[in-house]
Amino acid sequence: MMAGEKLLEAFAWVDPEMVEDARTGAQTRRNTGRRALMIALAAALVLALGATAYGYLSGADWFKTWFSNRDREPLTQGQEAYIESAAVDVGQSVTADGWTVTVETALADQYDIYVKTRIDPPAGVTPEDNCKLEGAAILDADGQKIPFTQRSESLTYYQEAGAWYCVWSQSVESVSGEAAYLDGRPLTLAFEKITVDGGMVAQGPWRFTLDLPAGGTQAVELLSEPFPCKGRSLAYEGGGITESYYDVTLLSLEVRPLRLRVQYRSEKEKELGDGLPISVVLKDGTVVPTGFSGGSFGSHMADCRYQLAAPVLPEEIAYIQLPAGYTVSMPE
Amino acid sequence: MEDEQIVDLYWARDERAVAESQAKYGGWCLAVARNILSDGADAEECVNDTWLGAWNAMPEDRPARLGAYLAAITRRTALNRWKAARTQKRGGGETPQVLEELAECVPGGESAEAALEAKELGRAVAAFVRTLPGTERRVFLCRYWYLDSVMDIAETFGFSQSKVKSMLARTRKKLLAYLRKEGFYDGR
Repeated sequence: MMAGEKLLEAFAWVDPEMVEDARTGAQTRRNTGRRALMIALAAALVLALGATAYGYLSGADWFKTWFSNRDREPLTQGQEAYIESAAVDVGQSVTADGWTVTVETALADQYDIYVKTRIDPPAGVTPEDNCKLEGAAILDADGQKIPFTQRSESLTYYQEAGAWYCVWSQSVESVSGEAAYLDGRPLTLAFEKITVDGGMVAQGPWRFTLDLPAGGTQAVELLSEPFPCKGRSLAYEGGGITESYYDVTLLSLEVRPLRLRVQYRSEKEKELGDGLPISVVLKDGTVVPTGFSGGSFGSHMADCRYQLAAPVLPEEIAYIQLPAGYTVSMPE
Repeated sequence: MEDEQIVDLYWARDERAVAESQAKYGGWCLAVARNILSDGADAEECVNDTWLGAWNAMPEDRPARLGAYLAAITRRTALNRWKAARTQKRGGGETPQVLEELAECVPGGESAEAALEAKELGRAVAAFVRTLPGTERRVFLCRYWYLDSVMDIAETFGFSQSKVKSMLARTRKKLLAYLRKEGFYDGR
């Protein structure tokens, strides 16, 4: 079988929710095509008047737009208020090897950080596809890398007006269990190199010291005792995707503004929900999806993180939706 | 009828399950099959095979998303038919072009074939798709899950065809980089 065919068949593993969303989302686009055209024309007019899409947005406004687009839901007042309290304009630039990296805005709670960076190539160099910042690290006061429970991840790369932009995220909870920084304590962030199509084009480091507010919201533990429920497993067999469920006991379910942390015990050492079915349901009915963003797995024990598609405030949460219809309500 | 009720009919071995599936998801499944196969009659047979496949797979399966579940059966069945037709040199639809595009994500072509273990590759592709932002993900899946033509995608999303092609090329490059990062081409 040709390798291309194997890859085509591998798409059968894509989460059913996303397969369905691609069709329903596309139909929505088709139905609103004329509206989209009008919006595009309006946007073009704005550009013609000399403004760029995000050029005049503050860090908070930029993150509101970005999270709203990412979650495909309008943000609640609480979510907007949280972003306003946590997002900061940074505007620090560092040039190394001819390439300038600018941290434009950042948003963090005490455990996770989002950073929007701009990457400008040297004069005469046109940014190409797959231009990436690599080797991200957060450093302690002695310049040593702090080991984290989660790896960093690049969430979005896009090209705009001759530069590359990257939205990058990292858990800043160290393996020792302490947050890497607290309110008022600066955080040192460094990137090692820039690559294009996997090959290095510039050697850093690009190093930034960020003084970030901690978002002001502590983690909230939802469980007072172990909670038996189900984990979900996906399999592709016999021509279709099948779902099966296995017994799980949640030991801890902690909500943070940007991420859920779930500790559980199971005979199966695998991710609780194969990625998708864990979501946060707000009191107004808004569903905020999560994505599995890593975990540590021991002997029948797991400690997993789920990144939220948009920030949440604990007081706005109604319940956490788990696989197989199980829910955990917020404590009174 | 709600999906859950249709699934209940399958579980109860009630033949109305097929009629309800046809009524609710027949058009969706037929579109998937037509994208893969050039022959309309083949595509319709494929959809009929889908109901049979679902009938045989349930009650062991209890899909939470019936539409995606049925479309997945159609896709698989249609790809198998496409392969059989190709050996008789009558394959068609969007499939040859899509395969050519996806081959870009497999450095080494045939020599890399052994490295592509289906299950691991499937999980990696699913994980990669989860990292994509909304519109990019939908465009990518319209092309490589549904095998929609570039022209149809452009019309649906209100983009030019060249923009769709460029989005797809960029995402394919990301997929290649992702698969490399996950170790698929490092001697496995």
